[in-house]
Amino acid sequence: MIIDCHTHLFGRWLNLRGIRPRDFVRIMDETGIEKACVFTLEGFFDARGSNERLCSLTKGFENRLFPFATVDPHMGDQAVKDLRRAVLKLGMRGLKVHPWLQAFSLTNAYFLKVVEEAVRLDIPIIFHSGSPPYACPTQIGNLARKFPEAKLILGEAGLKDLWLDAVAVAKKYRNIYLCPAASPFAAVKEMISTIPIGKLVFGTDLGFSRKEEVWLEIEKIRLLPLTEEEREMIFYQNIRTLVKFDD
Amino acid sequence: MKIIDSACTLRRGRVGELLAEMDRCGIERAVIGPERNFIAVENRAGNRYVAGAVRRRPDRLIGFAVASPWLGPKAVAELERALDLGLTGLKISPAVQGFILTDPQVFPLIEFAEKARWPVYCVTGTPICAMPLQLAELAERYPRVKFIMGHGGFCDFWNDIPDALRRCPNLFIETSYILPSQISAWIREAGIEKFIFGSDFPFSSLDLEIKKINFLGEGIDKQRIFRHNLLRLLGKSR
Repeated sequence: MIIDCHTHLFGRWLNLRGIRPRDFVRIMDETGIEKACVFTLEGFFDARGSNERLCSLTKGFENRLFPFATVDPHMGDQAVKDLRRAVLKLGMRGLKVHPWLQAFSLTNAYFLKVVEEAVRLDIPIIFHSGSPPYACPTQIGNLARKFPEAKLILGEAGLKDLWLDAVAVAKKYRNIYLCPAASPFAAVKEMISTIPIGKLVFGTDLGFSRKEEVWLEIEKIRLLPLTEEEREMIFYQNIRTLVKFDD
Repeated sequence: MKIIDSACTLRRGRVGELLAEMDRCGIERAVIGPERNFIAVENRAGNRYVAGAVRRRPDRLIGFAVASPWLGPKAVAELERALDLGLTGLKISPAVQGFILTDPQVFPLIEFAEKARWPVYCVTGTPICAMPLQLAELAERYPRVKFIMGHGGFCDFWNDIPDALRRCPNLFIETSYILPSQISAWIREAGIEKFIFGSDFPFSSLDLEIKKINFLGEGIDKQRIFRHNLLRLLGKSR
């Protein structure tokens, strides 16, 4: 089984249009993905109403698509209200933020309130990571230090240039997990040999990327020198300890 | 199809391993440069072992030289030695060597490359020093030098790639790390002649980098990306 914890469902982002739910699930079938955590595309630019729109797109695919909310810390206390509504009323399973595209610092006081709320709601937060000046692994590490109870996932695991930072903070903070989508192969090899396998989760960025890239990400994990048990931990078991999938 | 890889790193003492991987993946020839520590310091030792490998297998390996711009005139002297040893291109890595691409201290190295008719491979994608449009500035300053944008600006500079490529007829892009969907879009915008296969082996996976190019649409002539564009750039007929 494979659970993809990093995807974007249909929406508008510049000239990108994302993938409609039916086609999205068909790609999941073709690539062997059982469940996917789905995020917005457009909500990083205007969060208003984006959680509702995303949830309505997942209707009919409740056992396959598990929506994550996003909120806009620039909206002040509204961000906390939006998160509570997303989780408690709409049933969303986590929070995705993209501090670079959303243009906020992880030290932003309103964002810290959002993290506090995420801890209360017991949901994970997944971040885009690897892009200065707002989305660096050490900035997420700094947050992990402030909120040892928060479950923080580094999407992209620091990318090509900051993966060493991602490894460093994953080693240092118990509550940091890495999702090495788009990370260089040698970086992922280093991750599996230096940090506990229980801290690695699988993601593809489908929606921003396409079906071919899902194949490449699956292949990347298959090429790693891992036992079958370890591979299963990365493909689906670890994420189940962070996200509630109803089963 | 015989593939030529424009971006491999030769680890010291690992020629056999590299050749075996090339054989396994169908790579006819590869451009090789020295390891990261030899790019940052100990340039001469790096150039020497790369040249040694090229001398052993001139049919399979093409060697690019390195020199830290911080060495000033000594850097150019090192490139002259590398030329005598049989190396045929320059590799620069601003993030590893600690300079930005508009810094005049790199100009003498590029002027040497121009004189020697060497292409210049530059690692890109790292702010604040190795961004595609910074490389475009350098390429415009030296229009007779052919530049290769290593790793295609991965990851955050995709917006800048088509402009950088269109601005500079002498600027080409190497395909490691960048997504196939991005490559397809940029081919439409900037022309297929700009695209050169590179794997960044052993740091990226040669298997996955080749598979990625094969995922590009049917209308895209992969032979040009895998082989012809680089041969033309290197001034080789075949």
